[in-house]
Amino acid sequence: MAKFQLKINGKQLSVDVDPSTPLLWVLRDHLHLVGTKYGCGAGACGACTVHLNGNALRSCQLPVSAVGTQAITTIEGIATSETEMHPVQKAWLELDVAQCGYCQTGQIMSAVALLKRNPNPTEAEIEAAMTGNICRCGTYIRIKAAIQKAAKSTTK
Amino acid sequence: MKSENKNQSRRSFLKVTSLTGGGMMIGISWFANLIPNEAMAHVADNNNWVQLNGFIKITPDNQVKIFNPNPEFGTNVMTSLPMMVNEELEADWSKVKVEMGDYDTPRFKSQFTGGSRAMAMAWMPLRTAGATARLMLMQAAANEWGVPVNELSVSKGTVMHKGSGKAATYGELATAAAKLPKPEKVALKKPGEFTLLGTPQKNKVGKEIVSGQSLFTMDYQVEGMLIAMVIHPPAFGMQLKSFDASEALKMPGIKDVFEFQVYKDGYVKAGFDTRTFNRLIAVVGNSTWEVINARKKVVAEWEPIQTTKEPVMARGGRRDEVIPAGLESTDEHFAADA
Repeated sequence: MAKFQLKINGKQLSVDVDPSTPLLWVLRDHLHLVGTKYGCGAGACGACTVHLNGNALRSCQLPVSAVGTQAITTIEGIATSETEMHPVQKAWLELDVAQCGYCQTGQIMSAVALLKRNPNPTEAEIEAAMTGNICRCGTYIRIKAAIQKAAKSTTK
Repeated sequence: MKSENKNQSRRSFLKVTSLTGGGMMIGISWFANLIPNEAMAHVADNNNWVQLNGFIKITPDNQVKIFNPNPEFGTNVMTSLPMMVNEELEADWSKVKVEMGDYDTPRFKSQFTGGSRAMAMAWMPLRTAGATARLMLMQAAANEWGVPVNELSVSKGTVMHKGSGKAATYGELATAAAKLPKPEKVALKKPGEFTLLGTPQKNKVGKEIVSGQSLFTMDYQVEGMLIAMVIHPPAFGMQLKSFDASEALKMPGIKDVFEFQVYKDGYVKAGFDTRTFNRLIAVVGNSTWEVINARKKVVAEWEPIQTTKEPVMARGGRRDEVIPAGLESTDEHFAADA
């Protein structure tokens, strides 16, 4: 066990866990931020996607000891304000993207990171950036449309 | 199908309860024979009742909550099943809150998603629950205003009396409505009268989903909760011979490693129940990561099963099924490969 100070969604939080514990389980088991989902535990499905310094990352593959002082953002921390959702979340709702919803927080985290580094992606760039996020309900068509919609709403 | 059971189902179909602090709650239960499905026969055998915890909850501050009884696997039953209720209830759909009902198998027997049956199984019971609640709310208004119930109309969760101009919300009427006797019979709408069913509606829990607030089974946490994981055999047709948990038990955060039975002795399996590996190993500890690591340290030895015969309650009723030795699950599979 070791103590770690983590910067998550703008807050300093401390946990006492085994240093090898993946960030995913620190978020879920110890900090009760369960919006980040467990899918495969092998970095192959994207359900556990969070941001490390703004970049999308599979939290099941990152030991908590490797986080250091880098800023972590989870789905609970991406809204524009307490009353206003992120443009990507809004687009998701407008196009009714989700079905069961299990993978969608990971999808949204990948989409937000994509639009941050590339505000106006081509279709091919969207596909390349989102290819690691798997959806068993098959909502891919609406995911792509929602990213295009969010891109338009923010680049106007 | 026994006629006395049908009578019983008509009498006790719905349960209406007053809420602490006012308001009303309607629970539905239905008789297994109403479910047009042979695979459900075992439910009728064990217990004459199937209860699904589809509930309507109306609070005095006019919140209407509909609990979806079925697990959501992506077919949008979180939206479609509550739509059935609300078609007849006629609350304001834009304000209705939907929540997942509790999982409670001893009581509810079947909370099942699959086989394209969710809509068909819920069609009559959920609409009847909605219609009964609406009728009781209307009756409460009729009593309050001293007018006949057939002079009343309902729109978006408000009961109105045209003659006097009186109006009351469901929330205002719910406490009185919960004390009324349940109506013996309610009329359901004809499909041509539907205003909600048949219209495209967005996912009712979309906001919760996109903000990470919607809870899936793994997301439920309670104070002091432990985490358990199960060790299965490497293939069908194998059973547990022995295991050594001494190394696993030394791992940090581990509380226990034990063998358990999936099915109790004497349990008659149903169509979808796993045929083999009844005995499995559970690893229990403080946190998921600790259990994941300890699970790898359990040394389990598995052996092929011997040919066995066991009763199964499946389509077509109860029959003996032969589970052949080797790596197959049933005689059906065995025959197909031969």
